[in-house]
Amino acid sequence: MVPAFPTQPRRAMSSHGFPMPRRIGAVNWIGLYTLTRREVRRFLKVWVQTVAAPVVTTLLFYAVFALALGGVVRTVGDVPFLVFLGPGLVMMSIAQNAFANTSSSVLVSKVQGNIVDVLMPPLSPGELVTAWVTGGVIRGLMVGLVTAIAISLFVPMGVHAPLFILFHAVAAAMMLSLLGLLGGIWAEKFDHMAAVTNFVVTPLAFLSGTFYSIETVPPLFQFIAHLNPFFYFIDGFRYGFIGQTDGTLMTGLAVMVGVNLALWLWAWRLLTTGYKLKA
Amino acid sequence: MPDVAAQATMSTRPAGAYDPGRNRRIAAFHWPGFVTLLGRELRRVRKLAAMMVLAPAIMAAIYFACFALGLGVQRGTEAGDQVLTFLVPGLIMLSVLLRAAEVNGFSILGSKLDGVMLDQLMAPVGAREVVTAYALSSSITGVVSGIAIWLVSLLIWPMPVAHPLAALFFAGAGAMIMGLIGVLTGIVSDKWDHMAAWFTFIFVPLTFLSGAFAPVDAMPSPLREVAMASPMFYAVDGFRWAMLGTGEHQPPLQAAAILVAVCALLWAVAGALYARGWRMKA
Repeated sequence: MVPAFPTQPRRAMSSHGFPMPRRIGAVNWIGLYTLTRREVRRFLKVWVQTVAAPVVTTLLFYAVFALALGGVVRTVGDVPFLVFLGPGLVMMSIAQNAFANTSSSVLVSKVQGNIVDVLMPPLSPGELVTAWVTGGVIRGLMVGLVTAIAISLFVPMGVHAPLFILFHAVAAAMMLSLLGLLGGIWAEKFDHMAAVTNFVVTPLAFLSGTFYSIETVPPLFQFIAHLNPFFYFIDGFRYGFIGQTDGTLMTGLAVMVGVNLALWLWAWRLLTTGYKLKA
Repeated sequence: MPDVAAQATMSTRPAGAYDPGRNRRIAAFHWPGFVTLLGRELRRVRKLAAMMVLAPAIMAAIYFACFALGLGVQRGTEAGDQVLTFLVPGLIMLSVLLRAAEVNGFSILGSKLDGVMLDQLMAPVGAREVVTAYALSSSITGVVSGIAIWLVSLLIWPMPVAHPLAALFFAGAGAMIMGLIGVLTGIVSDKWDHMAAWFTFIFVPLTFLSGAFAPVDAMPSPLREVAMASPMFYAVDGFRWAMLGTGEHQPPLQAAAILVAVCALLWAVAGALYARGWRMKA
């Protein structure tokens, strides 16, 4: 006999024949999976805007910098300029899209009022952070992968240390997803979010050593770069491709783990207290 | 008390009521309607000043920093300085062109989606006044955002402007062309997604590759021909000549003539579409 609802898990029945509430263990796996799937489907539905558009924009930057500087700047260190530029641009697209995914998801839900549909279900703050961040990480990695493939059609990208590439891609996407989550919780209007993007994320992303080696810039910019967490993941990610680094790789790993941990706890704390989310 | 007596005999109607005696004949060009719409558009831009002026100025400074630092060991050499000198007019025109297209496209599509486009279509203002007001407002917006970036550039990379009036003309004409293209985009689009796609896939790449950052001659073959076919190229090229005084790709007068012709053509097309109410009236 075919059960009426084959997708529903079997529920325990009370002595009166009613289904008992679903017992949730330490982790609400169904809820976690559902919110993560929603976050991924949310951006895949408009993939032209969320995946194709960033890839085109990144290729455009690649073309512009290659045309403008390629004639004058032949190499950075021992590496041809175009090979140096590729990984940094891939990382920039990962970072910007991971940020955009969580920040827009939370802010749009808040503005439309459907954030209650996420806050009311039995999802703990930790599960909310995990699901939102996973959505952002998946979008970041997806855009990064497509961008890397597109760039490698023009300039081959060699792989030096695959684990470095993977670690920095995931850690950076996670960091920016958490920042986007914090921004989305804090912002009340789209103007606030535009201000964060224009005045914080974009400058940090551009002035992080994507387009130049830190070793050749004035001391002031070197100092600023070492304060900028973006510098560490771009440098570490690029090291994974070209085997040449501007900073110390171990410091970079420590910064990535530390910043991610701190941001995670901060986001978790905000969701626990309900800051700007629950009245 | 002659005034009170005169008023009493003239009319007892409330202010603004229909008065058959009043001359309501509208001239060939309806100046009050034109001025009103232009005023609304400019007030809108003033409200969006942070997005239209401040953010582009910061972005231009960031681009400049990236290129300057990206020069690496070439920074400070003659070859490096040439790259930066070439870049400044390009960065100014980049914002001039894109802001002009954005301001009109967003205004029209926003009006359509909010339903307030009706107020504009119902008013006794024809297509020629409306399209002219949009063209002028985008031109002003573009030039203002360009001036903001030029002021920033004075702090970072000061250089004299060789032909200020010509620079103003090329910036204004380029902005007007992009503003009219923005009008067309606003009319064509039904959703924000459509508008965003036009910008991401067509306008931004064309502007970026129209000699804003790098000489068009350095481009590989198919890109070069596409860039040189776009009106943006002539605006950027003419503006760079006006600022630097040398190194024009096209004779400036020829570039100016092309810009005026394209402007007139786009004005006519946008006017015809607006008059028909394509995608605006059911």
